[in-house]
Amino acid sequence: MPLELTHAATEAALAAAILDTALTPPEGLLGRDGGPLVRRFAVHRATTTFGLIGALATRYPVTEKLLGVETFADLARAFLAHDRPTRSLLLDWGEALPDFVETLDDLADWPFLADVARLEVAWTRAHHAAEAEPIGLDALARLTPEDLSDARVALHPSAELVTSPHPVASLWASQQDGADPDAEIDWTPETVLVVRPHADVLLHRLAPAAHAFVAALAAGRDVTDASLAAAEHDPDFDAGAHLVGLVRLGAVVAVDDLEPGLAAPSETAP
Amino acid sequence: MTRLASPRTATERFATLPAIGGVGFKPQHFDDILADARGVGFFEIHAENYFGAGGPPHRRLATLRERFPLSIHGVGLSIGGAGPLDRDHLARLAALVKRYEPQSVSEHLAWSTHAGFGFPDLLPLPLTEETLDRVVDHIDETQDALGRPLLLENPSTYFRFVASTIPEVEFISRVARRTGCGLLLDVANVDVSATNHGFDPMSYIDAFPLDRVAEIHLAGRFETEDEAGHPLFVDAHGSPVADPVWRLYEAVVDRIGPVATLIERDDDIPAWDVLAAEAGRATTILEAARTGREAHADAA
Repeated sequence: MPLELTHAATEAALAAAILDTALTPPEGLLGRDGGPLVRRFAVHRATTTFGLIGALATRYPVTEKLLGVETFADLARAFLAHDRPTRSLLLDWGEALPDFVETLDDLADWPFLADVARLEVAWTRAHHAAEAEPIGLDALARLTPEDLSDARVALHPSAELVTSPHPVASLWASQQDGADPDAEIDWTPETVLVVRPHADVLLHRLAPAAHAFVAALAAGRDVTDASLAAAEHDPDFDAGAHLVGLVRLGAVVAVDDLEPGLAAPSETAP
Repeated sequence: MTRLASPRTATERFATLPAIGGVGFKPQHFDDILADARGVGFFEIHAENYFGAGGPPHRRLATLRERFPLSIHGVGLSIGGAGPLDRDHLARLAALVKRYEPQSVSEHLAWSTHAGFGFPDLLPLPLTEETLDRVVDHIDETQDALGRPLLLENPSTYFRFVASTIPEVEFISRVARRTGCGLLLDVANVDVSATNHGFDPMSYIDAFPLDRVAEIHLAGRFETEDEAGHPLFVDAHGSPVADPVWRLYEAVVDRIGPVATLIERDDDIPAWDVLAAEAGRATTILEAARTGREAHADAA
């Protein structure tokens, strides 16, 4: 870098040579006593690459366990060529990994992997979500049957639904500490309600009718409407029992004549 | 009895951490810390790990904050960057500081974003009149947003810029004078840079504006070599503090007296008692310095 280069131009040259490791380090840098520079510059390349791979591994521990550390690192490196953080803050970065996994021919034999990663995205979002106090069963008991059928339900701000044609929650559970990773998994589609009512993130499997019910409530529809949506999957669906189940889980923060839209967590679907 | 008013210390002006050993907080140590944190006087967190809205990170931090003094250490504001500060990042830092009312807030003389790319690293900048003005502007803006003084940390560097015209210590001194900020002296960084560039770390300490130092960092380094066979130390935070760094630290404490001292460990994290013992070693050195000073004052 000649002396007249500005701060911005110097920074641009450094950034480019960190992003593209095939480039030689920028001119205008000095090693010790004007000596060699490549290994010195490589410290920053390594810190950035390993920092980003580490951030992905922290965010996708189950995906990493399923693939193995080496293969996951290869996946992370490939992802880096495709998606870089746009700011120094990594809290929100890496959510595009599941979509990227689906584009890889090498992982075509692992069609469930993207959905497992999507479940991990929902887990992390729930982990960091805002606090809200779940209601107790007494709040339900105060409502008349008429009030209840018109009521809208506000789910906890951490609540999110993940739907998959694969047994994502069972796969996730099989990789947790203390679980038997080789235990037989019933290979059926699973829908999961991810919610963190208190300190711990909970993964709660929902049958198709219950999923339709929760998705309708989450979209701001009232309990009667949501029951009708569920009945399309199960004519004997018991809305009252399921509502009690959601409250017991800690997934409900209000039951009332809410403005539509208040109860609208995002739904992740493949 | 009349007494001359003594000048306010850095601990009163810039940060109010107790002058004992502290440890970088890791969630896996939470239960052990609550059970026994003897010899550990404060905890430090990386601000960006707490930029989420709620959940276990904030629940743990709230509990920790009830029991211990807290240092909030930013690692991504990019104060040394050529572009404007990320306003959202600064607002989230300010909200965190407001929420937890820490005894110390610090950041780095480094950058980590450029033109829509973020780097999980603390990258170096040329030290010139141009970059000095920009760093001053960024610290002014940060201190305005936080409503309190910032501590600026000296960097660890692996190479120099031909374009640099201002020695690092002079750069830091002028930034501190113009912004009124305090300083975080990372003794391990001094040793890393001194080794990498072949200067005497004590001469750096001698020239450093020690009256503004309100916190000290200690950490382990990774030792390798460059192509010419010169030692190349990397600021890796993955091992215990090395003995030469302890000796340098003792010389600093001897010079400036007891100052809050943090053991940084971000990789290959050991059991809680191992880190607590390292903080305890710092506390012992600080207590010896305090006793020595009191004895000196009594004699005088």
